[in-house]
Amino acid sequence: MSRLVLKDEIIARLAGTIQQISCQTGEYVQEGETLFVLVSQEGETIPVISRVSGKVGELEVELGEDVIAGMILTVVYME
Amino acid sequence: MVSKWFVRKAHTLSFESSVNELWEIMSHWKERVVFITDAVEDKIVAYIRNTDVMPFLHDPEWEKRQVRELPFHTDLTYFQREADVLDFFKVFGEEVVLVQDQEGKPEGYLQREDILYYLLTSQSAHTDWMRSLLNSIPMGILITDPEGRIENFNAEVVRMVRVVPEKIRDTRANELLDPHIFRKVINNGEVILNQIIMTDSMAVLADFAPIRDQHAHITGAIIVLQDLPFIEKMALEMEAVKNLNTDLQGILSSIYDEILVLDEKGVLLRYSGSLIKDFWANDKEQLIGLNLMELEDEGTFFTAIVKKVMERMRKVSVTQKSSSGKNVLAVGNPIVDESGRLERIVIALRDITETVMLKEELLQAKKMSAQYKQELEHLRDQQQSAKQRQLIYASSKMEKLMNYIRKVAKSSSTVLLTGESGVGKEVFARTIYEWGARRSQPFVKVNCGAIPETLLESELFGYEKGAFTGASTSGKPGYFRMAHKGVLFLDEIAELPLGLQVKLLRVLQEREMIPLGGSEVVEVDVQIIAATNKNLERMVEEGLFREDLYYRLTVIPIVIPPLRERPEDIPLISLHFLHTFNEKYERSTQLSQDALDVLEAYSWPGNVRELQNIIERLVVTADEELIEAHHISPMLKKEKKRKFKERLTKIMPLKEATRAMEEQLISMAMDEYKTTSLAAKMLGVSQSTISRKYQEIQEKRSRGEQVGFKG
Ligand SMILES: Nc1ncnc2c1ncn2[C@@H]1O[C@H](COP(=O)(O)OP(=O)(O)OP(=O)(O)O)[C@@H](O)[C@H]1O
Ligand SMILES: [Mg+2]
Repeated sequence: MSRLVLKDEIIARLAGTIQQISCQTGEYVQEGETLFVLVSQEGETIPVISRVSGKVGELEVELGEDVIAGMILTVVYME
Repeated sequence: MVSKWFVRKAHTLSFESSVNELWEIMSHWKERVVFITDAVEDKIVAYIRNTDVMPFLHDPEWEKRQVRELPFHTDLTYFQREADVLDFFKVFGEEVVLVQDQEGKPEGYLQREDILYYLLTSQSAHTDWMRSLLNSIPMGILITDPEGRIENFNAEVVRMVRVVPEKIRDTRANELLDPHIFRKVINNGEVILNQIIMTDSMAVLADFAPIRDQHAHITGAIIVLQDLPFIEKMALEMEAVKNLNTDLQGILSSIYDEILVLDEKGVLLRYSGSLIKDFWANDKEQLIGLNLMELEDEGTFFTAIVKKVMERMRKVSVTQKSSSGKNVLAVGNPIVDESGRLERIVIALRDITETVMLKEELLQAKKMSAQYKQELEHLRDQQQSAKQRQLIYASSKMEKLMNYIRKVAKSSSTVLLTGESGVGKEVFARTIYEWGARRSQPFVKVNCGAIPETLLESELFGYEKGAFTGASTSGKPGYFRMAHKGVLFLDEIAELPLGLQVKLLRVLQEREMIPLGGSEVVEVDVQIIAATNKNLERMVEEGLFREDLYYRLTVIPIVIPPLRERPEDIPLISLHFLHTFNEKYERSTQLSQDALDVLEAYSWPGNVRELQNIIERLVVTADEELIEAHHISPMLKKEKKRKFKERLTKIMPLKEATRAMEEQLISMAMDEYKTTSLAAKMLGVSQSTISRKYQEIQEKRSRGEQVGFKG
């Protein structure tokens, strides 16, 4: 039986700059784990957290890159 | 035969005539061909085409030169006036055919089109088979009037131009092929050869020539078509590409609801689909040709995507909720030329509302089931804890400790439980909870050593609803909020990373916290019970544990003594476990007094947990109902053996060694088994022997003499 693989997009809630990348493609992450940290234009530090456990897909951003609101930073494939 | 037909007048010149004269004839008579006669023989020997002369026309030098200097053609074909259809066949395809009378004198000539025209239009019965022959050659032949109306054609034409025979008569050759070329042929009498004509449906090489009557009036055109196999193939491929394109369009539109194509500056070139209407302030049709980046009323969504694609030159995926509540996924892709320069930006939009909703529901269901599972476990846990997590003790040490705990439990103060592994720190924590005022509130256990560091923060403090994903999941409450008004048991507190120690300290001090991604302060009302088997004081000295947190936690320190310091508890706890496991494995084993003695004599480095494990193993593996001392001994760790080995490292008199060994063995046996009867059993001698020898050893010790090998 094929298993349903659900993917959850990891999204930047606000526009900002990627200050930290705490995950790698292929890595297994837990629900609640911080994957990215971004600094908003107002200087607020915002952790981007995975709300599911699973395998990290391709990273769409680089360290120091500016992201726009709603941008998909990576996906997490759940089992 | 031919007499029924006109023969073109053959204009002649001699080799000595000037090029100027030649051109005069050609242009005056609109003649394509002029013949050259040999002055000596008075006979046509060659011909010159107008196209042969053209390259020299504008050179004044050439005007006075002789015709013989031009390139001329001597491949003449002759044809008798009385010739039959068969003779036509012989000359079919020749460019120029001279017509001679019976004496062989030239009467005129025919051009290729004349022959074709004759063969095609002749009503004579004799020409029927010739027509069918024409129909079978791989060339299309069309005869038209000056307006392009098709008067005659062979079968190949039908195939080549892909028009059904019934329709062909209504078709205008000029429209079908090339009106411009056709006009030149009819108006100027030009012969135009080797024209590649390609349309959606055909690819041919066409020769156009005018048809003239005796008076050189143009009465129509003859067009010869040839296949262009490679072009045909190309055309078919193009057709395939076109189909593919349509397919792709179809596929794309079934995956995406809206596709925008922009140029490298952001100008909207095309779009397809418009399902997501509420994203646009204007009608999209009116936006074509405008730069989306300059449109203020079109919001920032598309502008941001376009800008991001330009900046990154890489795919950008963005999700957005539209004003009508639709979830939209927009994927912006750069399209670059070979040199890597941006050529186009394609933005594909998809309505993912349903997908998002389904996913949310699924996640919610997963969370709920996890929660139910946890609750179920908690219930099972509590049921068990009532029975299994009972604190069993008989020692006065424990009696005192329990009295102390009874008092502590009433206070809700922070408690730090220390003690070796397996002494019962967790049972104590639960006991404090159950005896306290918070017993009807939750008891939440967090194993600080078992949760990865990256997760611990969110596990402890939780995170806010929808804070990070833009979607509406419930967030995570975190252990602090889960334990609200109850007890939070922080097990293995020594494993808490330094960074989190600060955060924990702050929560303990301020009694409030801010969950990850949240902005509101959350009140914290929990009793903290922490536990560790590490020496926290030493960790503080080594800088591995924060001193301030240490003091916060040691409001009420409770040290649980190791089992070996309260051996009186051992028989009771052993019997308690025996009962439990007998029930679990449906057995009815018993422990002999000797067995209990062995258990009591052992040092239990793993404390109650080790004792529990050994009893379980005994119950499971016992062959007989009665478990005796010799069943147990092999299961217990024998640390002293190692010491013994280490000590025997040098040569000594055998007698002295034998005595030392005997002393050591007896001391070990007594240390381990406490009673002389048990030690005697283990050593395989009589109890009286052991009594006597042990007495001697004790006396030796009291005198301060060496017992056993030198340490
Ligand atoms: N006095 C006791 N009476 C009955 N059972 C006990 C007693 N003390 C401990 N136990 C049992 O022994 C086992 C180990 O106890 P517990 O888990 O509380 O140890 P711990 O001190 O937390 O050990 P660790 O440091 O390894 O976590 C548990 O199954 C517990 O129920
Ligand atoms: Mg424990």
